Amino acid sequence: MNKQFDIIVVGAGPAGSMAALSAALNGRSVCLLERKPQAGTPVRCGEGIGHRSLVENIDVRPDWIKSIIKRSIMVAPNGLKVEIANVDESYILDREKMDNDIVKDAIDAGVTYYNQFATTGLKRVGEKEYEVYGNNVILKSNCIILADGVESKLARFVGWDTTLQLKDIETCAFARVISPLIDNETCIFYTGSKVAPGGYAWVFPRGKGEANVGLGILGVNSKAGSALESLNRFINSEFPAARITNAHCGGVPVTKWIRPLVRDGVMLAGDAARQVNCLSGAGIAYSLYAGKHCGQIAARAFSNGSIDYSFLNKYQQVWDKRYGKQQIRSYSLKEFVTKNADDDFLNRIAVSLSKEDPQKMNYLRVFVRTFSRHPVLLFKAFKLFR
Amino acid sequence: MIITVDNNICDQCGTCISVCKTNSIRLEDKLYIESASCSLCSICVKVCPFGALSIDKKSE
Repeated sequence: MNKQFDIIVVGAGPAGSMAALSAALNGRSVCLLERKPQAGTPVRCGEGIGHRSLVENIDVRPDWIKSIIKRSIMVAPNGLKVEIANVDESYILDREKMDNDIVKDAIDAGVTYYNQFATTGLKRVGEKEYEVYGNNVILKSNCIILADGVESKLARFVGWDTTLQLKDIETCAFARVISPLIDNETCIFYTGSKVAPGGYAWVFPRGKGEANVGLGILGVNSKAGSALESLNRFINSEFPAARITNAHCGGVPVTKWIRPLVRDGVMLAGDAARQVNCLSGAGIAYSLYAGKHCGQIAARAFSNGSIDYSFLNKYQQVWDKRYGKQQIRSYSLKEFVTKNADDDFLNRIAVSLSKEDPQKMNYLRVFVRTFSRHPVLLFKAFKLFR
Repeated sequence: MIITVDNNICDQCGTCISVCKTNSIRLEDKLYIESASCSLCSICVKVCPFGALSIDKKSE
């Protein structure tokens, strides 16, 4: 077993596997570690992504696309439905297939892949070397990329405080639902304190009468097991007699991304870096982008002979420019929504929007109406959706 | 009093780890809680989506 690598990546989700792939394509010896037997499973994700966000970050394969979304419906707490027909082309992905294919590409590019590897520790030894502990072995490297998901535990070994506050995490439950009631081209979002307090429930169709159904509850509103209980109640209400498979849970960070994203020889990417759109909880595009760029920059640092903060910080700069500022805007809007958007507020917006032509309705209009009395937030919404 | 985990219910999602202020939870082949360093704040119990964590008032 080889124990010395240029770069070690922990976590084989979209961020970690993209980082490993791009570092290997740039000529470095890379080790990718994954705790689970197989990357991409279980799927803890709604699997939705916009066309532009996807194609700008990865070469998409047709079999990654489960369905193409033509419209959305937002359901107010009082049950009033607002149709949004003017949506940019969006997809529901097969995350299991996509994640596995990226790992396979990484292996083909020369990455050493260890699955079922429980990384238990990380320590700096000497001036420039790190030791990674797990499975009773010690791996050594000069550069570590931490993409270990929402738990983001390993970063704590090297000086970051990645602890999430209750107001900054959505506690989620997901299931695959098969029902004749599912519209194969429409995403549906349900809001309100009875469905998902401080979050929302979603129905994302995967085609052939199957959908990802899930919900997220803001941590401050959560009780032990409430996400699963709420999901069961929601499915029984909306899809009676449906067949339910693959029930899983997960946490979605809805906070500002971690600063700094790098230290000497260590970089954070994906959920571990809290790189998630705080308003929607979407993180696939952010993770693909972050992984690709931190892998590239880590590899270039070796060519440059400087695996230190000053060079690796180029990753933070490109992240901040492309998605970082956008995420901070989404955080401001999330803070407003979770503090001010009670059921009455959401019902009033739905009544107002329901009078408009669905063909002209888009997400920006929804948020313009939501923030119409708050000029600063209105500006941020414009910037977020433009 | 300690925090305990039912590993038959735990889905290994790591949500509890993300909110633990004392770094007392770790996920390997299953979830472990180190009661020696746990502050008993029970935030992890509150956020567990499946309700796999609970407060055991009888254990020392």
